[in-house]
This record gives sequence, C-alpha cells and structure tokens, in this order.
Amino acid sequence: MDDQATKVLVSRRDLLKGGTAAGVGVIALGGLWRPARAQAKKVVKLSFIGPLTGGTASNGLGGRNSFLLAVAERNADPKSKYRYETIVLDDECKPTVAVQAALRAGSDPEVIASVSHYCSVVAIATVDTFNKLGLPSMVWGAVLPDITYGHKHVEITRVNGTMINQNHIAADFAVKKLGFKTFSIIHDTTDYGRGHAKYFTEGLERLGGKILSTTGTAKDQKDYTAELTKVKAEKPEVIYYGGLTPDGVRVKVQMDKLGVKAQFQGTSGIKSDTFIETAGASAEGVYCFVEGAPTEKLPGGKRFLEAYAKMAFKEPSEAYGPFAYVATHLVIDAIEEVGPDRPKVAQKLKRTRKPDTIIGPVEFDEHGQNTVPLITTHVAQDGKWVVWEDSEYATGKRELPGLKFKRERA
Amino acid sequence: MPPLEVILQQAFNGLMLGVMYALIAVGFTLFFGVLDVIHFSHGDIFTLGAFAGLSLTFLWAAVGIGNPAVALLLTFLGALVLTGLIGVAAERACVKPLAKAPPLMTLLATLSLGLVIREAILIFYPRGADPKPFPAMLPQGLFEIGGVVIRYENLAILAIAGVAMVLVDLIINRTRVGASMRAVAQDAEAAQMMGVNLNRTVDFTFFLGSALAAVAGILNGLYYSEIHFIMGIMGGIIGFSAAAIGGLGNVYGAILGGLLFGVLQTLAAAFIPRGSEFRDVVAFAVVMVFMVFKPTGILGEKTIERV
Amino acid sequence: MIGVWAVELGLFVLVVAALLAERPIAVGLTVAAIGILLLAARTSPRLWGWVATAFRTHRAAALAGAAVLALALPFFLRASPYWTFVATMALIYVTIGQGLNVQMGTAGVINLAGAAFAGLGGYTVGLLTVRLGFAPWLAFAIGPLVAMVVGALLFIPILKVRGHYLALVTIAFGFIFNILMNNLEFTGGPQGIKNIPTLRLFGHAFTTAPTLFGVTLPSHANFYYAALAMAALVTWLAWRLYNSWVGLTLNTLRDDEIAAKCSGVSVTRHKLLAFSIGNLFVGLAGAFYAVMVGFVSPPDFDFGYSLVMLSVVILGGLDSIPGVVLGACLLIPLPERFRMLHEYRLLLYGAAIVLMLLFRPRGLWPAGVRRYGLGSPAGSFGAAGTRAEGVGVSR
Repeated sequence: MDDQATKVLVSRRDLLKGGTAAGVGVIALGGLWRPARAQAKKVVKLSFIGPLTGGTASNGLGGRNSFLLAVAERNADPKSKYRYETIVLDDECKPTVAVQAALRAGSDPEVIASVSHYCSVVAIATVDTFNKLGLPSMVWGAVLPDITYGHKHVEITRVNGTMINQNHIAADFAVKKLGFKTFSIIHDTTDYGRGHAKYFTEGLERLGGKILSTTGTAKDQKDYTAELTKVKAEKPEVIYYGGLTPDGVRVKVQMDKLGVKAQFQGTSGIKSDTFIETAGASAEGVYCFVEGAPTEKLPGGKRFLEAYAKMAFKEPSEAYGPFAYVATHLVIDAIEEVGPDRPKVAQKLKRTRKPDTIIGPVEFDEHGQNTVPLITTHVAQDGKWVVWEDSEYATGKRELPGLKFKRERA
Repeated sequence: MPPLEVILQQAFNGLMLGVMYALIAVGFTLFFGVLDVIHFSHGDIFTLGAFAGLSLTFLWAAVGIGNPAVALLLTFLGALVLTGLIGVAAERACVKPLAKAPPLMTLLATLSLGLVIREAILIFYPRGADPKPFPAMLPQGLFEIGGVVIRYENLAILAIAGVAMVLVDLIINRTRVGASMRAVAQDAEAAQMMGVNLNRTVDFTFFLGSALAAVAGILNGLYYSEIHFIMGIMGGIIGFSAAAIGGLGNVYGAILGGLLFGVLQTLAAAFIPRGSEFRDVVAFAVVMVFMVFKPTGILGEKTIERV
Repeated sequence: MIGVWAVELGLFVLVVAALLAERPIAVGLTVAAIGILLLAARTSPRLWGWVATAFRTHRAAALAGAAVLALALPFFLRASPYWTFVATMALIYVTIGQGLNVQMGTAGVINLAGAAFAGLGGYTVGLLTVRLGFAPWLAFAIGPLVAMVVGALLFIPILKVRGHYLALVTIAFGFIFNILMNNLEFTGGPQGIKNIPTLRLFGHAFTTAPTLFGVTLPSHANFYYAALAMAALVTWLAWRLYNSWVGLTLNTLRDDEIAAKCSGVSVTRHKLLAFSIGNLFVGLAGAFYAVMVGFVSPPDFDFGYSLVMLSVVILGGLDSIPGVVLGACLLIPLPERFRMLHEYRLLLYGAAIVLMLLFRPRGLWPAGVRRYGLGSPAGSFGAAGTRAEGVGVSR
C-alpha cells in the first residue's frame, strides 16, 4: 500500500487538478460511449401499460392478454412488414408509477406506440408525459372525459367511450324505460366514481329524476353498512353505485343483508365476470351499462374469444379486453401504413377510421376520441351478464327486483 | 335528528365492525406485550386466515362433509392451526433474528413480509386479484326489533368473537403458558431466570395472536360474504391503531380500541353530512385527540417518569 | 488514492450496467459481478478492510471522485430519460431520507407520515402557483416551510407521546392529510393539481433539454443536477448536524430521555427541533417533486409511500448518513429494475428487503460509533468517548 506516501504528497490543489482531469475524462468517456443495440431484423416495439397488481389487476391482466394476443396475431401474419416486440408495464393504478412506466416506454426509441391505462386517475396523469415524449398512446379502458377532451395533444387517443355517453343513456334507461323516480347515489371518491356520479346526476336532472342523496366512499372500503342504513331510511327506488367491481360487490351484498329494498344500478366498472361470481345470488337483476356490445355479440367477438382461448391465458379477457385488442390492432395498422415513426403514427392515429373492428366501426373525432355509437345495457340473469334486449326481464317474463319492490310498496 | 331505530341500527353496525377490528387488535397487543414489537404483517396474516378458511370450506365440500355445523367447526379449527403456524413461521423468520436489532428493523422486516404474503395470495391463489365469495355457513334470515334489522348470522358472529376473546383471556390469566406470557411481558430476563422457556412462550404468543387473526378473517368472510387479498392493509392499520389507542400490551384496551374505531367510523359515516367521505378523518382525528390526553392509550400503563 | 478512484469507477460501471442492462446476457453478467463482489466482501475481510481503510484515509479524494461520477451519470444514461428520472427520484429520496433520519435515527422520533409532509411541500407549491399565481421559485421556497410549520403545530400538543404511540399519531395524520386532499375541492380532489409551472434558472427552463460539452442530455437531466445539488446540500447539513452538539444531544434523547433530562437537556425543544428540521427536508423534496413532475395528486402521497421512505432510512441504517444515501440509491431503482418480472415484482421486492435485513440486521451501512478525542477522521489516536450502543428506540 502506498497510502502513507500519497497522503503526504497530495495537496489540496493536486486533488483539485486530479479531480478535474478525472472528471473531464469520465465525461468525455460518457460522450463517446454509445449504447449498443441489436439490429438484426427490423423490430418495432409496442408497450402496454395497465394495472397488473393491486385491486384492479384482473382488468389489467385481461387487457394485457388481449394486447399480447393481437401482437401475436400480427407477428404470425406473413403480410406484416415488421416484427413486433412487446414491453408490458405495470402502472399499479398509481399516477407516479404510471408516469415512470410511460417514461420507461418512451425512452426506448424502438417503442413506437403504447396501448395504455385502465384507471382514469392514471391516464389523466400521463397525458402530458406522452406528449413530452412524443409517444402515441391509445387509451383502452379509462373513461374520464378529460383524458381526450382536456387538452390538444396529438399523441393521446382513446378507443373506448367516455362516461358522459354512458351515464346519459343510463339515466334515460332508468327514468324513461323503467319509470324509476327516486335515486340514491353512492360513488367511490376517485375520478372514476366522482365523474360517474356527476354525469349521472346531470342526466337525471335533465329527465326530472329525483336524487335523494349522494354519498362518496373510499375506494376499497370494506364496510358499507353505515352508508346503506342511512340510504335505506330514504327509501329510494334505485341505488346507483359509481365504482368498480370489488366495491360494487360489497355494496350489493350488504344491501341485501340489511334488507334494503331498492334496485341496484351499476356502471361499466362492475361489468365483470368477477362481479357475478362474487356477489352470487345477490347479483340477480343488477343492471349496468358498457360501451360497445358484449364480447360474444361483437362483430368479431366470437373469433376474438376463440383466439383468446387458444392462447391459454390464466385470466379471462374481462370487459375491456376487446378494446385493448382493437387498440393494439389499430396501432399496428398505423405503423404498417406510415412506418415506425412516432410523429407520423400519432398523426395517423388521431383521426382513425375503421369500419370493421371486432368492436364494430371505429371513428375518432378531432380529439382522438372514438365516437362509439353504441352503449349496451346488461342485466345479470342466472349468473350471467345478458344483453338487456335478450333478457327475460325485457320480455316481461321476469321482474326486476326494483320494480317488484316498487309494486309492493304501492 | 334521525329516528331512534336508525341510530340503534347504526350502533349495531358499528358494534359488528368494531368486533372485527378488536380481534385483529388483540393480536397486535399480545405481540407487543410479550416482545415489544409491532408485527406489521399481522394485517396480512388476517387476510391469510380468511383465505385459509375459504380454501378449507372447498376441501370439506370436496371430501363430502355436508353438515354445515361440522364443516364450520372444522374450517375454524383448520384455519386457526394453519394460520397460527404461519404466524409462528413469520416470527421465526422476521422477528426473532432481529431481536437484538433496533425495533424499527423489526417493523420494516414485518412490513416487507406482509407485502410478500399479500402478493403471494394475489399471485398463487387462483385468480387472486378478484374479490372471492365466501360461502354462507351460518343460519341465514333476519328478524326485526323496533325497526332494527338483526340477522341470525350477526348474532352468531358476535357469539363466536365473544367466545374467542373469553378463551384468550382464560389462556392468559388461568393457564401455565399464560403465566409465562405475563412473566415475559413484565421482564423477559427475570422470567427466563425463573425457568420460563422464552422461545416457546414467544412462539405460543404468535400462534395465539395469529390464530385469533384467522378467527377475525373467517368472521369477516362470513359477515361480508366476500374476501379480497388487500383487506389486510386497512385491517392491519386500523387493528394496530385500535391496539395503540387502547394501550399497547393491554388486551382489554385492544378490544375497547377496536370497538371505538368501528363505532366512530360508522357514526361518522351515518350522521355527519358528507361524513362517509371523511369517516377515517373523523376516526383518526379522534384518535389523535385521545393521544393528546392519554399519551399511552386509554388503558395503557401510566409511565410516570420523573427524577 | 488512485485505488479509491479505481474502486469508485468500478462500482460506477457496475451501477450503469445494472441500470441499463436489457439483454439476458448483460443482466446475467451484471448480477454475477454483483454476486462475486458481495461474496468477496463477505469472505475476505482483508480486501474489505483495505477498501475501508483506503476510503477513510482519502476521504476528500473519495468524495471528489463520487461527485465527479455523480455529475457524469446523466451522460451515460442519456439514451434513457427514464433512468435519468429514476436516478433523480433516488436523489429526492436521499433528501427525504436525511430528513426522516434526523427524526427517527438521530432523535428517535418516529414519523410514519413522511409522504404527508412531502405532500404538504408539493401541494403548497401547486396551490400557490396554479391557484394564486405565485412565482415558481417563491412557491418552491414556501413549500418546505409549510411542511415544517404544520409538523410543528401537530407535534406540540403530543410531545408526551412516544415510540409506537407516535407511530399511531403520525399514521393518523398521514391518512387525514391524504383523505382531505382527495375530498376537498380546492385541492383538486382526486385529480390533484395539474400544470404546475416548472422552474427557470438564468433564463433556462428546466423542461428544455440541456446541452453540456456539446452533448445534448434529456430534459430530465436538469432535474437530476438540481436534485443532486439539493441532496448534497441536505446531506451536508445533516452531517454537520450529526457532528454538532445538537446531534449528540438528540442521540441522548433517543437513548434515554430521562437521563437526558437529568443532564439538563430541554427535551421539548430538541424534539421539536429535530422534528421540524426533518420535515423541512422532507417538504423540500416534496416541493421539488411537484415542480419536476408538474402535477400532484393524492395517490402520490399515500401511506404506501410513507413506508417506502421509512424503508430507505431503516434499511440504510438508522442514524447513518451514508446509510441513507445507500438505502435510497438501492431501494428506489430496485423495484424499477424488477419491472421485467411483472406481477412477481413486489413479491420479490419484499423478499429482497427481508433478506437484506436478515443479513444486515443493523442496516446496510450502520452508523459508526461516535468517537471523540484528538482524533483524525480515522480516529487513529484512539477513541475516548461515548460508545452509543443500541441505535434506535430504547427497548
């Protein structure tokens, strides 16, 4: 060891000089250094961002699987000009994590576009990030209107509908078609729940429905007995819940346990197989609204479900899987047409028009928002979600629980 | 002023919720009493207990035990033992090796272990991300007294919880191992000198506390008919808070704290405008005010430290 | 001295490789290298001893070398704004960690509401700039002060509360903060506050990509350098505090409050001081985060993040200033690196922390024993002073 020797010899000035020299050297090295990349084939990367862990993971996993399915199909297609690789990122339904995931996707120059987000709070957070990165991002599940309507960025598009159309149709259905007059609204306090409550209230006021109370509850709350006991005393005809499946199950099951005699009306957030499996008998007669048509009824739904089954995924595709699937195909279509160039792909995607996707015709407005022509009403019947028009409730063979309570009360 | 039956109904709701918290809180307080540690994965042990119970109901159904009372009893026994043993394993893995390290190390280790347990349920339980239906194994149906709806199963749940709490009390105060626990709680070194087997006592404490968490988990499943892998997060936080507000190390304090939390949350949601959104604010704010006047919990030992 | 720099350069190469390795072979090589190093450090005390001595003797050189490498890092990460962002986050957590360490490590005041105090800093910046039109720098300066003042106001009534009960009070505060931010209208509800203006320095906006030495770096490099300055400043302040009489006094509070009182230490004043300084640092980091990301929302400051902050301090080593730096630089990039493991990520992250604690029960870089005397930094003249055993809350 020459410790002692150097200790004596090195003065502070030498240290400074040495440090500077070393610093310049290291920085120069950094400047020269180029990250090496494999360039064997023309590879184009696509990223998927969604919640893979946490309370909404089942929807995220269904979306991811559908994304992987679409990519696999295009890679198997001999007509494809590029080989598509995938990067799957977890946003955990948390804004910070989502921003990091978006950055991660965007910082890889080979990633040309992203299929992103199920949670509204996360999708709204990354809007500016995608814009700064110049990375086209097509939202496949988040329904908050501001995600497409709150800015003028070219990068953000959305293949699923917003909660505005959904709730106006929902109010129409409840008031005009079923003749309900009094409503108690419960919603979770996230963007999703608050937004739904707001637009449903708007719809009801337009039609003269009466709102007895509006109650916000925390996401992932376990006990709803206090809120439901309070609502029970108001004797509403309908309890509207704006929130996602886990909480929706709790509200409905606890409603029954407390003997609350009202119709349960949900939003797209509860349209999952899990809702019916978990709520069991309590699910019977619950209705809700979803953009597009049910997977089986979609123009290409049967083919989608068959292809999905062939991939032997662990998780079902859930309600928004087809949207993730279509978003992936639309993104790949754009890349095939204009080449792997982010700005060109973004321009192309902004005004997407495609008459024959598995979710039906797709047509984006100037905000890059799909103007979905169709909202489908679903009702839980014998442990399955059935399209309202095909259900025994519509034909009059069965009576919705809420209508029965109303009749009994009268 | 809301009608009387609504107030009574809400009080009953609060009681049910409080009992769930109390059962979790007792575990926290036992661990703290004996070892002076906060076992932060206890909330996830509670989740684990619920999932163990659920899996066992499937097992009994598969082997053809049809009698609901027998199945329920076996579910409880099996989940208790299983969860208790996992609790002991958690202690051996994360608490004992860190016995000589600063207590905050144990806090971090158990916290991380909780994360591992939670994620393991998510990944390895079939479709673990979804909420799971819990079968109704208690008598269904309800009756009304003065407008208050009471379900038979709620009464059964209260009875089971009560029995569990009385048993814990008896074990602590009337048995040999309970005496060891109390001795270790007072002074571990002195207890060892008097011939108490420290390791075995600590193991038993974790077995007891974790088994109680399993009871809480199963009762939770029976009460709400649904369990979810993330229920241990809030369960754990409120369980710990309840134990602390009652006075760490004091079993009665933990029960009191649990009930207090349940009732506070329920009443806040029920009777304050927009209270539902702020129910936890109200509950935690009251807790903070309590701490101002009772810095070691309601029934906590008074530490008069004066020189 | 060259040896010290060589070691640092080697570690630096390893860190860059660990961050950027994407292909399986590269990842495998990096993991193998780290494994060999760890094994070498464990099995060969002589090697370890040589490195430790070298660093102790050439402390100034080591610091200078580390500074140069830290400054050079963005050049190596420039192909990836993402990793620059992650590195910046690690520096933000260094700042937070130093703050919490003053509270928990030095003074033994448990704080499980780190995220809430960071949130107070961040939300103050957001509210002042977006709602009230304050200049960004002014708001940025006020943010940490608000965190400090609110912390002090919270703390004064509960000075008698100690140890695990303090954990309860701070948990409660964290939840209250988060729920209020989520449910009040003026804080933007669940969407939080968006479009927080960025900082400008000498006319250079922090969002424009900087060009240094003819190399254009991603715009996040601005924040990286700013965060580096912030973390360095806070670490230096924490170091000065630790080595001052105040630091020693705070240690006595932690180890035995009654004894401290007997010796004439004002418990109230010093606890409040430690709590306030800590929250000032944490609030500063929160304010920085707000101007960097440009938005704040309740989920960014929930209980989970308080636990991450806590982990940084505890895993690094309580009361250990270099430990905090190490803890942050390890714990923040690690889960990001684990992203390729998808749903197994958090599981393995939790398991990794448990394992690290089992192997190093006092933290990765435990606080050294305080030494006083005529000593050089190495204490070569022998230690005559207090031996502070049992770091942490007295049991």
